[in-house]
Amino acid sequence: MTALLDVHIHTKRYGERTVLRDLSLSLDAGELVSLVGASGCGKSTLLRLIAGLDHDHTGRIRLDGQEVHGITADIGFIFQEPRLFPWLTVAENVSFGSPRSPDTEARMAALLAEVGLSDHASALPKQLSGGQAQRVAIARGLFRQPRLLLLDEPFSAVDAFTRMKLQDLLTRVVHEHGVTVLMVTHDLDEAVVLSDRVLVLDQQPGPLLDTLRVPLPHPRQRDDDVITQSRTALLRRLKAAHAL
Amino acid sequence: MSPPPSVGTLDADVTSPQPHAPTQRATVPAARPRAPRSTAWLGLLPPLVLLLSLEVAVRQGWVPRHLLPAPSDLVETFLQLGQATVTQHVLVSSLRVLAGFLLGALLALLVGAAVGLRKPLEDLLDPSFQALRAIPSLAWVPLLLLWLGIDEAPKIVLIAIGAFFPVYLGVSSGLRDVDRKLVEVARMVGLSPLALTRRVLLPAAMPAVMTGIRQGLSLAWMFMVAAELIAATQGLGYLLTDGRETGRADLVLSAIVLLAVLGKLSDSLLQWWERRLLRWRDTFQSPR
Repeated sequence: MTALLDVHIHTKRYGERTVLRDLSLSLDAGELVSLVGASGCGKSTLLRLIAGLDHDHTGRIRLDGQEVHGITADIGFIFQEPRLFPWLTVAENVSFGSPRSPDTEARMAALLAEVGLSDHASALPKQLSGGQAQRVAIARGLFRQPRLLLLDEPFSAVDAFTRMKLQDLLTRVVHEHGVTVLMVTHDLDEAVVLSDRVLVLDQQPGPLLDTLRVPLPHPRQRDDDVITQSRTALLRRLKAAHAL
Repeated sequence: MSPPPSVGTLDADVTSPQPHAPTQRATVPAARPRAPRSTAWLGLLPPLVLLLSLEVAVRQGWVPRHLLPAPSDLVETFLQLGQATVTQHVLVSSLRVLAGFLLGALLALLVGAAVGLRKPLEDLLDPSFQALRAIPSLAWVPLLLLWLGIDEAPKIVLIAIGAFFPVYLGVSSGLRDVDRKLVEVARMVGLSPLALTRRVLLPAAMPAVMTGIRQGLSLAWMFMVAAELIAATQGLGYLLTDGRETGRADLVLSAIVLLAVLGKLSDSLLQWWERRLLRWRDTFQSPR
């Protein structure tokens, strides 16, 4: 079986500085994979390359065997901040960029129901809490029915309780939609609780340092022993890699 | 790390202070009225106090009446001039402002959009516009009189020049400074450059554009006076000149009061429009 996403970045530079070098990773369809590593090690840059927001690199990115050139509807992106358009309603934000039709209206309504915001369809972003706004962003990320969803520290700006709720929401909708997920995070608990695999990126530009599998089916309990053990293992590997 | 015990203690912490929480919550809304009474009427206070003290000062003979007439004298002046004459002056000036403002603002919208959206155009045109902006309004007058005569044309062109620059700055800077993060979202859904401009850049630039338009209108009123001071037989600027030449301070002050009222009214109109248009803005509205 070929991987859904297959990435090999030969080099990515910002001016003189090399950010990524000889980095390979691949994701199977339906996998939920996290990317961890020290700040500034190029995690977000990697996501931007895969998303097609940045073309300036040497290497190749393949989605289902097809070379990816630029932005495609098959790849969705959920940013660190909700990034909602403040002049559009919640509903218009979710379906942004798609022409109005009974089909898109129905899909938008269904997604809003999934993230529990049906009552807020005609609200403006300024009326939402941080957690609600990020739920709208999740709905928007799924609206175009991508096969791969990229998330860049999606829950880092909300409080701990909201974060857990959003994580549960994300795993639920991701499994319902059968989307493959690659998520950058700083939160080791988040990485272990959500992912099937955790990839550790080196501080120096280079290949992946390590991969940790979390052998536990979804839905998971946060107090499961496997979670705790995996978290400890991840922490040790990061320490060993001098990422901490 | 070890969720079960910590969750347990958390629960205890949350439940123990609950008896206090509801009473606290109940007192907060009671202390602060739900719909705070509007304090907009306060704006009328300074002019009213000023008018009243002027009236008293003049009647008491503290200031010479021929230099600073009392407000009641101004009312008399208005009556003397007659409603038809006052309306005529106001109408002529307002129409000039409207024509010049529309001309300048529309041109500025087009040029500003071009400069804001295209970096090469910005590099080409912006320095020249910045230099032209620095020219004082009165410096244009002799040139416009030479070129366009003393009819309506030089007046309207002068007002258009006044309105142009604030609107130009608002549009070009508004479009230039659109948040990169929002543009990225639009790119991710594959918006075409035209759709990007229409659906993201323009709405995002609207707050700056509206500020520019309001400043442009207020400058249009100022430039109108400059235009009418030179060569006019009608209008508020003419009233000012006439008052000076005939030594009538009441006439000059009447014109000044009319200018203040008209400027304020037209700006309030724009402000109302701006509020409607930019209802989505998340502005600071907590009680002050």
